[in-house]
Amino acid sequence: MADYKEFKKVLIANRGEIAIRVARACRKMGIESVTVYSEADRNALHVRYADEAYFIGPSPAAESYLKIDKIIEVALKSGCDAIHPGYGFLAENSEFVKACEANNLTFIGPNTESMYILGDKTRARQRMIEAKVPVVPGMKDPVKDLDDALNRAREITYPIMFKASAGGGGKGMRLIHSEDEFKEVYDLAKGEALNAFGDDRMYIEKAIVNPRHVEVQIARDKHGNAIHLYERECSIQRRHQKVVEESPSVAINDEVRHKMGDAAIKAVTAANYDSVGTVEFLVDKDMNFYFLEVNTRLQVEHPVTEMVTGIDIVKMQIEIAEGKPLSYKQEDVKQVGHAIECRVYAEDPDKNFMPSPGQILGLRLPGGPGVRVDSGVYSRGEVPIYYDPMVAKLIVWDIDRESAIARMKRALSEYIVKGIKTTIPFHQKVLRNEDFIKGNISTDFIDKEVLVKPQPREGSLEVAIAAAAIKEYLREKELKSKLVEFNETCASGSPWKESGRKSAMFGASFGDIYKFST
Amino acid sequence: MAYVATVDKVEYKLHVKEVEANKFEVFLDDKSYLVDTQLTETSVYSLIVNGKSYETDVDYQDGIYSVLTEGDLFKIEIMDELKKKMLERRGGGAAEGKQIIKSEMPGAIIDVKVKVGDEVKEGDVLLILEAMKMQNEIRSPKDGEVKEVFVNAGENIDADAKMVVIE
Repeated sequence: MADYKEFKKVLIANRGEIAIRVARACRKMGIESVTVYSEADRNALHVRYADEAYFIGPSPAAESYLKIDKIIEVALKSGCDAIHPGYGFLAENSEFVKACEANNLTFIGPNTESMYILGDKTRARQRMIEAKVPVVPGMKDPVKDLDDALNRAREITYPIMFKASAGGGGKGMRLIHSEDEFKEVYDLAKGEALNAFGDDRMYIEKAIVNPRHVEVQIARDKHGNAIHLYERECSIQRRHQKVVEESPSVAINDEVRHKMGDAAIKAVTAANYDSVGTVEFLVDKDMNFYFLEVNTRLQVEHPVTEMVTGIDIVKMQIEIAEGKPLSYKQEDVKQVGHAIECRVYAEDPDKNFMPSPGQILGLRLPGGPGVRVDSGVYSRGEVPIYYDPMVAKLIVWDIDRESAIARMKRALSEYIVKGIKTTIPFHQKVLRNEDFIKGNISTDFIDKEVLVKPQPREGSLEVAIAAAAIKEYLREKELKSKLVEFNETCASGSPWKESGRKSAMFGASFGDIYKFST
Repeated sequence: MAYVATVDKVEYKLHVKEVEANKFEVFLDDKSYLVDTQLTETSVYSLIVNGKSYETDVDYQDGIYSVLTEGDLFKIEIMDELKKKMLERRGGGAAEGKQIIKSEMPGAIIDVKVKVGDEVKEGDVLLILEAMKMQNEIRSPKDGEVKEVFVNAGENIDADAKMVVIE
């Protein structure tokens, strides 16, 4: 038997739904969990799900969740064996992994060497070319300046993708169709990259037109055993951020599915990877697939795979970090039924997806068979302005895709969030779109289909109008009664002054006041 | 009360009559509905219309009702019939003239692309506002001239802060 350790206590260096997800896995495994929180997060849900919680600094992530020394200090003080980074924040930061190692704390993720190779997209591409994993045509090294960038783009020919070397999660990454457009967004894209990653190196890649984004979940242990847990279809994206994910993908057949699984294992083996991870591919309409990148972390959308395989991926990740061999062989991993995930963002889909932070005034979560909600928020809780706007993930499972879509629509209609705007109504539009139902999607699906074309409505217009009119009736009635009260208590002097005072008190316009005072 | 409801630019005439507490008779076009209304959660109403049960989530802002029912969002403007006639007689829509661009949310101004006196076209980027890790391009709602700029790059602003005036 290989030698391994069993963690007693794990620090979770994250917040929101993923911190809760990891705390749940720890609790199940009998491991104590320690969370950290910033000023804005004292009341956050993750603080209450863990066994211990420690304050680590002011609200901006750079002064709290990204403070390596502070987090290490808490881990040592509280007697942790290991640190789980979640996704985002420090999850793919090799400095952090080194700091963990230097302090004899196990980082629950891959070794620094493989993170170094895969974390940088240009290095990763190079390694994949050597390992004979197919890649998208493009330049490997970062562009020097605008002139250099324009020259290279001309060589590859437009459309191109302009990407941050240290990027991921769609930040600092743009699709560019022409030289004029490139000139216009060059600085903006670099600025975004600098802000998001502290690194503004960018490279250029040929854009595959109408591609589908299909990724393979893999797991490889410290003893060289590797399995894949099949694919996830993540083509439904907005601003290169995934919005809806599902498994299996309707874009590929079983033959390609197995080929991609094998290629994914080849890719992580080439980097001596030793954790759970995701190999992303672009798939064109002829089912050709190209390596895009490896996400060396637990993915946001991992529940989709958990639902179709029945495997607890976070538990598996912790066991690999403990040094245990994989408890599954490839032939044990089965992809059963169909799962869909909708990411719920605190954004207003009616106002160009503007972030919508604030207090949640009411919350009702969907339930029933086959429904899972991984949520980081609660009723009366605050969604702070400092962090990612994703507040929850709604995941459903059913026997096939059609049933899963029906179940997701049902679950979305039960889901009520008050006080902030969310993308829940937008998800209904996606699920009603005929091309989505047919599985005819690509990464520009939202821009081309959902945002431009009107989607069929299922709600009753008459009921909506009746509800609005009744509320208007009640609002006016309340306004009137306030006015009567005002007249009885403090009305006096000039009608103009009075009107001004009233409008200040009730926030009503002069027109409204006029209407009621006569 | 007589109202005019406007949804997707189509007008509907309706009447609301309070029959008893929480019970209303709504006349919409030539149909009448008996509506039993209960406020069950913050702005979530349970409506029973002629025996059928509906859940509607009703928000009000600046004269527009956002009604979410069966997962569909309806934006409805409800106006008193008399008031609407009065406004029409006076003429002129609200979108004309001076536009004050306010921030929808708190955030940091990353870049200001315009200065006072600039001519802008509808859709031109005025400034870039960062919130929740995303850089948002704030665009001009109309053609016009930049009359005032209230913010500078690097500044943090609150929700509803005035940013730019276009006329």
